[in-house]
Amino acid sequence: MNGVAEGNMDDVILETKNLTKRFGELIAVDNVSVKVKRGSFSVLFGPNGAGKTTWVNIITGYLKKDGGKVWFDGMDISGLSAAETYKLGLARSFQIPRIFPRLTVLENILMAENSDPGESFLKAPVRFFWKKIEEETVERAFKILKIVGLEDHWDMLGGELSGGDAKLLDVGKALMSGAKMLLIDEPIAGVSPSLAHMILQRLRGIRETQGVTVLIIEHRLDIALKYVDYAYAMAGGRIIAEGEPDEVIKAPEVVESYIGEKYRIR
Amino acid sequence: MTLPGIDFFLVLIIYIIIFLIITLSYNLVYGYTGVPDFGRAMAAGAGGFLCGYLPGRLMAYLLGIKGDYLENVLLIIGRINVALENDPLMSIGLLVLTLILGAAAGGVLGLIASLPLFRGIRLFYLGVTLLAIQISFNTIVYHWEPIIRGEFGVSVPDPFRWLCHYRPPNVAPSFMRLIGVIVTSGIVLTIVAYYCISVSRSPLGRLLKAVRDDERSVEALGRDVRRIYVKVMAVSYALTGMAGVLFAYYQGYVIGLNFDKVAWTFWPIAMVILGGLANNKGTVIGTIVFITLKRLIIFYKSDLRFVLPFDPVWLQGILLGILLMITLIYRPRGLFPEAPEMPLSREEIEKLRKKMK
Repeated sequence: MNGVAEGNMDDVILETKNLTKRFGELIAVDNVSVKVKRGSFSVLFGPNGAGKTTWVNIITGYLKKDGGKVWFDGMDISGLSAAETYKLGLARSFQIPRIFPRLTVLENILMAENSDPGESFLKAPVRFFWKKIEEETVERAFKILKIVGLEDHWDMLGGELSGGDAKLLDVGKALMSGAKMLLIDEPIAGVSPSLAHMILQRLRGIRETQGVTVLIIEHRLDIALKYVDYAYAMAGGRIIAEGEPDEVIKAPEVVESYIGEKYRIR
Repeated sequence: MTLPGIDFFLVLIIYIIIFLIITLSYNLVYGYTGVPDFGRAMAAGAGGFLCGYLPGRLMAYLLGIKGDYLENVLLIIGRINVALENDPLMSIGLLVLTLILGAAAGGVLGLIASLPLFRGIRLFYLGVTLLAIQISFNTIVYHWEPIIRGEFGVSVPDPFRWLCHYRPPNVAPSFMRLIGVIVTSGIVLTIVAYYCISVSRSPLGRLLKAVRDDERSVEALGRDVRRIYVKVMAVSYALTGMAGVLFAYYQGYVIGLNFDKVAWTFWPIAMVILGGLANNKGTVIGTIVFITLKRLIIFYKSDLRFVLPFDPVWLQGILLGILLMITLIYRPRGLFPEAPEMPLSREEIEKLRKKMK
């Protein structure tokens, strides 16, 4: 039932094995083993409290695990910090977009570039040291803004963006970092259906044009399942089904997790 | 009611320049990076107290003046000043050396003061911790006599005395001294202002604002936020340290009561808030307005004695407090609210955008 055939590790970009996280008595993530195929566009879904965001938080270094291992792009990243996993090319966005409200849209994107000599306390006051690199970075940033459809809003403040645009900007930041994989938490939560379709179309486009692996965590399956090519269902801290989206949604365990008693949080 | 004379304006300029050095460097830490630094007086004190401790002893050593320094400080400083008066190069050298060492002392103190961040302390608590460290710092200097004789204080050498030899006819020596302080402070302010304004319009300024807005997000983008805090504190304290040196040289003496938390921490915060956080232009205007008002109140205090129903000694605090409250109620973002400052100008960015199309 894995996304990738056993032994074909070149095709796997992210793998977790027996990943576990406890909060006191509660086992939020319970021996989760997942393989994500390189270049895929997948969804991880499940009812509230299923452990989806906790799983993402562990992988991206925001939470310490209690057990298990994480590999990214062939490297053991278990226990690395958020900054370290980001530098390796595993970028994430949050349920609530983490936008810098008093920076412009362009500056928000530029923040993803973290090797700028202009950020040195010694070099910053002298434009000569960073102007050329800044110009090159701005050119690259405009390419990203075009991909996420925010090119014309480049001089708006981050805090002035609509919810949907803020999510796209979050995605843009991840792309600007040169990420190999994007973990996007609820990209279409709270946006209108038309904007939700647009966001997912753009994400799919990013996967196709940039070759970036995309894994979204989402509740709105009516829209999301039309765009993804693989699905993982999670409940009670465990992966309860995975495979083709149409099959996973009909799996008895998945139906039970949404309307039954078995996985209800008490 | 008497009108202020030329000396009033010269002293006003000195105070404005010295406090501009402090507020511009403070704005870098609080306005741009969001660190609520309540220990600023300590940074100025690092430079000021160093000025009371080191240059006199150094000059006494170089000139071969013997005897217990603190017991004979007035005599020793008198002999040092005679030597400095006849040696402009040595005077300038001493001034520059003290400024560099004052900056270094401030920088080291900033570094040490921000170390609690590595213990995971949150920013608000760091602000309060800095206030506590600053009070401890002042208490030590005040009560530990071997540094600057505590409440008695010490005279400091006068590196501007040689200017008296170049004074035009009918000009008092004290006038030339004030001009010397203004020129030196002006040069230091130019350097500090250039640094702070350039940083605010550079990728570093963008990074500092991002840290202030959402440090967790900045961390997620691969930056070590705690290192950024430590660096900005060290740099800013170093700049403020030079203001302390200039103030000590201007006064000609330093006592343990100098660089107290009200005048050197809380008023600079008020000046920055009045002008507008993360806006250097606002900081400059806020500082000028605040200092001018403060000096005018001091100047006219005795005239107001007969008009006011209370002792005019309280007037300064009351009026400036009211001014700050009005600012916070009606213009909470200051006289000049923060505006986007981008490393490349709008024209440069539009040009790059067109080139891509």
